[in-house]
Amino acid sequence: MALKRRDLLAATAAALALPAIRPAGAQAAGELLIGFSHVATGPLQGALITNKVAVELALADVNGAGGINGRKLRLSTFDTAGDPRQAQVAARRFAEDEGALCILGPASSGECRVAFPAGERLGIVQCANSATAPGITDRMKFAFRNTSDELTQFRRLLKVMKAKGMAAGSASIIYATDEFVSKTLGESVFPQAFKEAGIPVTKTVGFPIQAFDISAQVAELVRNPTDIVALGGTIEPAVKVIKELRRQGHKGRIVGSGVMSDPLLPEKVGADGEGTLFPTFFYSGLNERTQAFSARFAEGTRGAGMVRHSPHHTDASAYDILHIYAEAMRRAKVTGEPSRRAAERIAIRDEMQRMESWNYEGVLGRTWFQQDGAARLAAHVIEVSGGKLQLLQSLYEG
Amino acid sequence: MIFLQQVINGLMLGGLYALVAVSFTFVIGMLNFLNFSIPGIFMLGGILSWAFMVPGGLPWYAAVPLALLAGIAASLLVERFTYRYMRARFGDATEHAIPLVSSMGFLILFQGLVQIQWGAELHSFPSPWQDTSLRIGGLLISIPQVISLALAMALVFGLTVILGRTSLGRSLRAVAESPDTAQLLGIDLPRLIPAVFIVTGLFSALAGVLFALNYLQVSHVMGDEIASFAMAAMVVGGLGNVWGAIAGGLLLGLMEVMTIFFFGAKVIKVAVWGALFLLILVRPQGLFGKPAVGKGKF
Repeated sequence: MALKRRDLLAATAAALALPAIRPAGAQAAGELLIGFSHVATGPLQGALITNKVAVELALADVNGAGGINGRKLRLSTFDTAGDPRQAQVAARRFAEDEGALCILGPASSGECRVAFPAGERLGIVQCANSATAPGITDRMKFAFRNTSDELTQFRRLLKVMKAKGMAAGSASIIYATDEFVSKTLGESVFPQAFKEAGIPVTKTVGFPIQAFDISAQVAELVRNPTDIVALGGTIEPAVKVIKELRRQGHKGRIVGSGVMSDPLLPEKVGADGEGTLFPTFFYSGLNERTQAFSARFAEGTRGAGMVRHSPHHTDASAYDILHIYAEAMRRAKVTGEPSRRAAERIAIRDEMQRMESWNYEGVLGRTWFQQDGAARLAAHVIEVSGGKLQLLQSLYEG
Repeated sequence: MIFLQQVINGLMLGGLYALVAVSFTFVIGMLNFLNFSIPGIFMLGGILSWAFMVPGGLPWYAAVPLALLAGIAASLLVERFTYRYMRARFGDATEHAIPLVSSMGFLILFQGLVQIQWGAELHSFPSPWQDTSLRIGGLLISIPQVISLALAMALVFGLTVILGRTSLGRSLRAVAESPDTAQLLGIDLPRLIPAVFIVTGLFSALAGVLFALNYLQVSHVMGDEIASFAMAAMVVGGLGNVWGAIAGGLLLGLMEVMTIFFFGAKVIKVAVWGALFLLILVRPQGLFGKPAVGKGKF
């Protein structure tokens, strides 16, 4: 078959164009690329969509101060929708197609469970800003999280309750059975923490996270009143549970976990939320640094047309992670050259493991990564009081 | 006492399923059309009531009728671009799955538009009343759920009267039997069919408002969970039978709550869908349905 001149020209043009073709987000000369595994859609977006604003603030800080070792920092963003499989796709795209030096994210524990092992195989650091399930970074070399695990945080919450003389003679547990962290809370974290604190658990009930009617489960709890009801669920089911508990006459205190830490909780639950406690690793009113960050965040979210203008602890964590990466790159003297990429990814990891010696202080306070890859962070125990979030006490140890 | 409380919880929950199930079954019975946009219209009823009241600043007695009107308008939009479009273009609207898929497209479209406008967050729905629960001898009864159940039964009773005793009802029954014969007898189908969608839009949007009043929360996906149970209620009651939908809804609500009471929340879906599967094996037409429904129309 004779080759037509038009086909020959097309083939030649395509061959000439090949070297110019590279993935849209790929690292270019003179810049350092960070992959950002972001949740902009899906069921978790209510809490996590604003992470982008915090990350862009940090990026502006770094590049505004001259970049890193003379090079600009650039972000490539991938919306995982909170889906673990997509988080794994994001890790592979950043590492293999775009030549990123490290990955900010994935956000949630469910995503980390799938994406962290991929990062281990690819030899690229990932650092989660929202994952709080215990043990999520255990026995991994490239996995970090700038969060504190739920068991540590809940133990501290119980200590604060005891120190403040709050009634805690008996407890019951209600949790979402089909969501990873909520299930961990209901079946592992809460029972263990109550056992350690010597608080008997009277009843444990579960509910599907999508359930709109939880009257049957709450009726079971209200039948045997307890001083505390521990609630394992993300913010939206948590609001439903709190309202139903109060509707059915629960008089005791409701305590939650980091996953229901939401700056808008008082507004969402109204008077029913009065007295509710939860731990968080960011409190906007803590000091000048956190207040300045909160003011800039509010400006950024308003500019982006977003609904929430108060930073969530995952926003603060994402902001700090970008600064931590920038500092690790600076210390590792990374160049972003493709031939040195694998070695520079390892060098970033090694610098992060030595972080305690940096004396770093971000909006989450003085922090570093421990042996297991989890950050050393405070538990700020917050109480919903008078329609506002009030800091009861901050615990850094224990 | 706790058992009785759970029976009440089950019946109240079933009342909500019933109202949505009536919408599904009415369209199936009249037009042989499984209208997947119903959960979307349900959502519009709830979230538009909230939007007119909270961001819009309207009182509830203005916001709720506006939301119901919007639900009816959305239902007519679905009719125009799924059902009527297929019939006008191909002379047939239900012999294939395209209207079903189009109505699913409308569901996604409604959810997407609401998410773009008001976000994916859960919104607190302001209750016009201070306390929405009634306490009788240690039993707790939700007033909006009682209203929901009573309204569902009253509306179905009204629908039964309209279908049985009015000219409009006779025309609708004729269409339900055989649309072609009905048209030959002089029934103006293009004018009559929208009436079915108006009733569906009203019922679905009203169910959304009652849901919002009861749970005091609305979101763009509020119709998703209720839709599957409402469809199951429709099948249990018998396709096309509005009283069957009420019975199916109540039965499913009871079954769900009793499953939680005796076995826990983890087995709800297995128990409810397993029971539905068994019922279909034994009695495919449901409790009150006729085997002929769903065959050979349009």
